[in-house]
Amino acid sequence: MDDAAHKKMTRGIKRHKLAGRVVFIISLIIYGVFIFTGPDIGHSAIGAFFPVVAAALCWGWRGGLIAGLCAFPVNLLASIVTGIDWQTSMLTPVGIGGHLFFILQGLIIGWLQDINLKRVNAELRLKEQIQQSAADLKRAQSTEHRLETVLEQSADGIYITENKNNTIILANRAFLEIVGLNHDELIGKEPFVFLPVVGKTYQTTLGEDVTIEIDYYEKNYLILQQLHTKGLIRNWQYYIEGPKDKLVPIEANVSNLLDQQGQCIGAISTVRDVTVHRLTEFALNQTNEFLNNVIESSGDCILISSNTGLITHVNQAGLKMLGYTLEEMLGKAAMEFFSVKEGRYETTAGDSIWLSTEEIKRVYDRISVFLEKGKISNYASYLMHKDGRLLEVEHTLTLLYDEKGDVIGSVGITRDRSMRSRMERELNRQSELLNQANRELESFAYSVSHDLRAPLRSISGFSTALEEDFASDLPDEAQGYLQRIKKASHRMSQLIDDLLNLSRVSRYEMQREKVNLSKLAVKIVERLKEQTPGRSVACTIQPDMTTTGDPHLLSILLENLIGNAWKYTDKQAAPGIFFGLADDDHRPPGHEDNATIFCVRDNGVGFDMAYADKLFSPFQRLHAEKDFPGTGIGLATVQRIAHRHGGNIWAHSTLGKGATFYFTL
Amino acid sequence: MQKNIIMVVEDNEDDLELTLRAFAKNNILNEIVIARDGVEALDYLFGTGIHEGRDLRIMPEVILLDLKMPRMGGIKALKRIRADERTKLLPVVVLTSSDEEQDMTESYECGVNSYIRKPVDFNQFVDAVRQLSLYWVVLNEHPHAP
Repeated sequence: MDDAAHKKMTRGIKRHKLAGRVVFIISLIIYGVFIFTGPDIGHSAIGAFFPVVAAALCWGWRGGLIAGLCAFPVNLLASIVTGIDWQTSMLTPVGIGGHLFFILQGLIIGWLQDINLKRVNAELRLKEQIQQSAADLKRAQSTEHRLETVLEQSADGIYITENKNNTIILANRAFLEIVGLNHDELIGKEPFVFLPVVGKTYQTTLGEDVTIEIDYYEKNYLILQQLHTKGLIRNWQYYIEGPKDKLVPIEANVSNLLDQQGQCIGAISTVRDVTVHRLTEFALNQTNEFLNNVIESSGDCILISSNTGLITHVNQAGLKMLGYTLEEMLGKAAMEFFSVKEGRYETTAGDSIWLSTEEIKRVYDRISVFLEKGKISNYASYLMHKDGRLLEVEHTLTLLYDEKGDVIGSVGITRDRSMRSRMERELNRQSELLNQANRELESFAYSVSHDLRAPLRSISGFSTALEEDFASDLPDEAQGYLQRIKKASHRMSQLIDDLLNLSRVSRYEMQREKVNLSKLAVKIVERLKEQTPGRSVACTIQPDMTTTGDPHLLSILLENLIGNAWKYTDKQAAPGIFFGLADDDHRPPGHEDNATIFCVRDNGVGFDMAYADKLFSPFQRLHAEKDFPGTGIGLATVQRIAHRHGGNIWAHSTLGKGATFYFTL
Repeated sequence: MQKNIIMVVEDNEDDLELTLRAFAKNNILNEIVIARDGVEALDYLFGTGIHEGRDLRIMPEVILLDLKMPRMGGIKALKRIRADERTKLLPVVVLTSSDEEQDMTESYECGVNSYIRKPVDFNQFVDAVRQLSLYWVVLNEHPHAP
């Protein structure tokens, strides 16, 4: 019987009972009307017929009997109330007989109804049982199918061994793939068939070479032999021989299969190929080790703290910098080490410095900026060494985030700048001293320029006046002395001018621009020709030599070098000057840069190379004043100009055969 | 009332002597007014101090001004000359030992007409004085104060 039919039947019985109750109540009302208004008992006796039948149909034989029995006293009460002779009613055979008839009939009809109900219920129960067992069967079938599907679809290899012979009775696709065997090659075999062979060297899927030792083999063999007695085995790692003779690292879990009585009937093993897992683990370890090495090998302090600001890691450099042990720092608030108060401190570099409130505020402001922006680089700050000395440091701080973008901590890289700061302060002091010295030099030069010239002018002026006005009164010797005085004052005036020029070259503020040296040289030669019209010098100037530098200073440089060449070729029959580029062969040792070498060459008197090192010092002269006039400051000026351009100057000469001056800029 | 006065502001006796000698050698016969420092020069130009009551219609044709002097230096005196309506147009020539860039720049910034460095060589000095007198006293035309 199916569900629908069963429901229909149950519904029929319910309707049947409901109809009975309705008929019973309606007939009871009609009966009531009859007995209290009816003309005689006969009517009322007949009127009770319907309620009795209805009660029997509704409630079986018990209902019929009770209704029949109730009809008799009710009729009796009605005859008393209505004034009909109760004796007539009670004694009338028809009346009594009528009542007995009702009772009997109610009983019979009720009994028949009961029999009918029992049959229907029995039928219903039977059908329900049949239905139930059909559903059970269906459920059982689908469970088995599902289990098979799960087994087959599992990414892990699964095989089942039976208890009696320890042979494999079932293996899923994944397991066949791991061992590289087909179904028939595996079923019925013992589980150690896929163990690698002792003594043989295999390559693993991880790329390592592994030779199977006897101990290793035996240990795993024993486990596989006794799978059923071992109970539960968790995360058991060993190699099995996979396809192409490669060893596959696996992780196995084994549990016993029990029958309904709790007896072990076999073992189920799940096997996972852990090659990828191992590789990932290996890479992760390598990364960790690499990071650790980087952190530990850093000379800067690297401090990692949690999102609550507690220190979780400090490298060795950090511990050394701060003077604490790892235990003393881990778990402490990083700010403990960052906090400084106003005051005078001795730094780790041995300096004594004053930390002002403004400076401390600046540091804290920067930390606020860091928390806002998530990163801040190279800002000057302070740390306290364990011994109370102050560390001047430079921080680079970075917030660390997780994948969701939440802050999980921060990394601080701290560089000790105590020593550097000390050197910077020292440098500042030195540079201040130097500036002061320069200022003094400047004022000295100024006063030389003004104050020394005035008496010189008097000497020169009045000796001229003496000569002009009293020449006739003076003997020749005295006039000769006057000449000497004039000459000496003239020379001194020149010395003062040259010295001032030298000091100006050093103080002069350079402007760097592109300069055409060839054009400058041409102008200088033209000027020299104008000044000494009697001389004829063959000048060769290589065209278009350009450089970057200060045009004014470079002009002074060339004036001096070409002027010297002009001067020292004075006594030659065929004087010649060349200004051009020199090849690298002329580069002296220690100047192996790629700077262009310029040279000014002449065929003049030259100089003795023994004194070459004196050439560029002020007041050093290699020739007598009477032969070649000069103050000995020109080449010192030239060298200073070359140095100020980052270049150099050197010279080569053979006495009597000319000199060459090389310079770079 | 034109007297073609040349004013020399110089504290160094020797330099003064040599300057006067240079004028003489160049046959410059103009009246020479001498001031020993800036204060004296201004007294003359504005009719104050030792020159109280001087006829201010008479002004020098050119002023030769030294820079380094006691009491008041040349630059300060020059500024005062240029700041006053009566003297702001007077030709002023700085005649000094210094050829420092800063002195030269400052002088021109303050409105000097010429800047000449005194040569040590007396013959050159004579030549310089001749040229500057010729230029400023003879050749140069400039408006005169009323």
